[in-house]
Amino acid sequence: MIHVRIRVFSQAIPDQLDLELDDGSSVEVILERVREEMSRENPGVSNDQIAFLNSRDNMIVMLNGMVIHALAGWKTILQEGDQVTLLPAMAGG
Amino acid sequence: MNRKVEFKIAHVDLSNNSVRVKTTPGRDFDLYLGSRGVNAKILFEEVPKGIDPLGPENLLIFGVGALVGTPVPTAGQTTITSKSPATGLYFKSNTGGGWAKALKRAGWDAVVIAGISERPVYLYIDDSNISIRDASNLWGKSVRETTKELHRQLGNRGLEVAAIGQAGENLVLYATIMTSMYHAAGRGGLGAVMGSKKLKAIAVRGSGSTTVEDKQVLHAEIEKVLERIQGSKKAELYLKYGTAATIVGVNESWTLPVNNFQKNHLEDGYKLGGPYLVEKGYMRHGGACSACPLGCHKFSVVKSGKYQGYSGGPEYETLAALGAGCGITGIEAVLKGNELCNDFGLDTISAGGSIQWLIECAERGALPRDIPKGIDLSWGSEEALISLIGLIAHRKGVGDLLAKGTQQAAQEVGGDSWKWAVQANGLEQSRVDTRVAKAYALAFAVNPRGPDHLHAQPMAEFGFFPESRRLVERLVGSDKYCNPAAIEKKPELVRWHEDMFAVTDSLGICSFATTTSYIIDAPSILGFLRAGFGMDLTEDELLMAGRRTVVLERCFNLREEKLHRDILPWRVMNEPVQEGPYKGLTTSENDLRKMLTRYYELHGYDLEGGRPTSRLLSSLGLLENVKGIEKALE
Repeated sequence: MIHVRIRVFSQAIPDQLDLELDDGSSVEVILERVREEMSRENPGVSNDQIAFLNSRDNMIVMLNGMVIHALAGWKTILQEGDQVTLLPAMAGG
Repeated sequence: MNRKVEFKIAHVDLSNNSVRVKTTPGRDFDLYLGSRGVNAKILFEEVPKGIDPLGPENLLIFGVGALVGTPVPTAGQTTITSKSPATGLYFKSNTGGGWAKALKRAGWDAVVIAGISERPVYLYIDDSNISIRDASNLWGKSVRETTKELHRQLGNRGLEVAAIGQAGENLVLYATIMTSMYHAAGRGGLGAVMGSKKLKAIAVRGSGSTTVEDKQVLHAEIEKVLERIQGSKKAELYLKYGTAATIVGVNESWTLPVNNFQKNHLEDGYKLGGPYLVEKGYMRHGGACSACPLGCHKFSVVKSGKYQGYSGGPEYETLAALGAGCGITGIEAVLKGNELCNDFGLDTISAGGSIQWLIECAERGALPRDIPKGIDLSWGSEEALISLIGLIAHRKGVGDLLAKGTQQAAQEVGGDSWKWAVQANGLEQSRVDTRVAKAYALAFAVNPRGPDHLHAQPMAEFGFFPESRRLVERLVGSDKYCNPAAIEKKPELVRWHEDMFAVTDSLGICSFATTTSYIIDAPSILGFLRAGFGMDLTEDELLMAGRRTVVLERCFNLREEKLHRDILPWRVMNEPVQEGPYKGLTTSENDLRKMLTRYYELHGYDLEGGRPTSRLLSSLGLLENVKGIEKALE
């Protein structure tokens, strides 16, 4: 098993979750796990948060500060101690 | 068949109180598409080599984008062009609000200001009538006071004001020109050029309308863009949080400059971000620029306490420069700093950069004289931020030193202080860590303004969203080049963004819609040109029009004795990132040289000095169109 920290920036103050995952898990498995965990931890999780977690195209995913598209995308394999950040798409300023 | 488009220009000479009307040849529109390109041509032809930017020979050119006045989404921008007192080089600065539309409705495409008035004046443009009026009662007033007073004197209906604050009057080298109170032509000290001319404001009122070639087709093109905006999450974020939303992503990708670029990540950086500001009740919708459905402009309020106040914004760059760059996450102090800069008419990026430089001087025991007693000059010092902004605007004490910008300030203080002056070519760098983001690094190095984001904003290199990844794939064959830390294919990305940015500016649409969010794309722009002006271009010809402007701007700098250098701040090139995923990274001289060589090759510049060749200028039509441009080749 590996332990991964997830930070979700779907609202003003980020949610933080620590997940235990099977060895060899990829970034792809995280979304479903985060949805499950956030609902379990917080039954009052908002529709906006769920909509955010359901929309891959509008989400920026970073692994240890690097956009996953510069790695192996959703197939990037996670390692013990990794930090994954989920952010809404943004457009510069 | 193209409709012949001529630009009507008011040429105002403040030395002799004269106003002349000029018209550009129709060919200029075909070549440059509008304001930014036409402004650059006027500057090149009419501002002699080597003149003092704060002297009477410099021009201050306010050009309205060609599509302004039409309902094309985001077409509300003005380009202001001059020789910069900060860099001694070519400078253009772009601003929104409602000023551009008012000038277009008054029947003008541009106003060119020459000379120096003997006394403070303002310009009142009421349709075709232009009067130069006494501004003695406005001199010394802030931007907000000036704008309100002109509204009181001239009436509110349809009046738009471009004004300088005390910083412009006092010739601070990074003074802004503010339009519609809170929209800044921020960089390069164009407010100081306006101040040097003793021109406090330009108030405009217009009653006309803009004609287009085919209204029905234009509306059909507009509908397509509006549909795209309605379905865009990025547009939704602009509307909710403005550019302040960006802080969170830049911080989490370890490219947010902290403590004067010593670090590039803040543990609680989200406290400077748009969502946090809205949640805590500090930020609300601020009213969009004319014709803009994105509505990124925001308004912020601190309701009570020592930082009580209100202002437009804050923008991403402001939060990053006055907040993270100074090590401050106390949002109320940053909002007060934003309000003061807006009101004094100070560029928040250079003001923040100068204050950070001073704090680092204190950290390293290299303090200049005239430091006010009792100010805590340490990272995170809210007191330093607030007090120094006032001193800079009024050029008092150490503020007089900081008002010159970090390049000159470091020369005066001496020692190694130039190393932590994070500037190149006299301009403090915009807020992205270019040790990491290589396309930004190249774009900043070749920018004729200096290291700044508003000449080409190659955000696609991060691959943050599908449109940007698709663009990268289309331009260079694969989205695997969406990797900020790699140098491969970055010259190709930069050149496309430069070209598109120049087109965007000249047409008066907003770069947030074209080169950062990629919502308005080249086919949409081609549709606007067809419907608006009966102009039928290919995508290559469109980009070529942008490139023509980019090359012309470079030629202005090459003609100056003080040659613009394609370079980045020393810190970015020599001091590695200290922690995080990019630990150890710089954009070394070698990295930059590799990218520059390819960039020069793409442009057809000579590979050693990056100079355009006579053949290139000829192929772009510049040799025959711009008087004296051959001097840039010497």
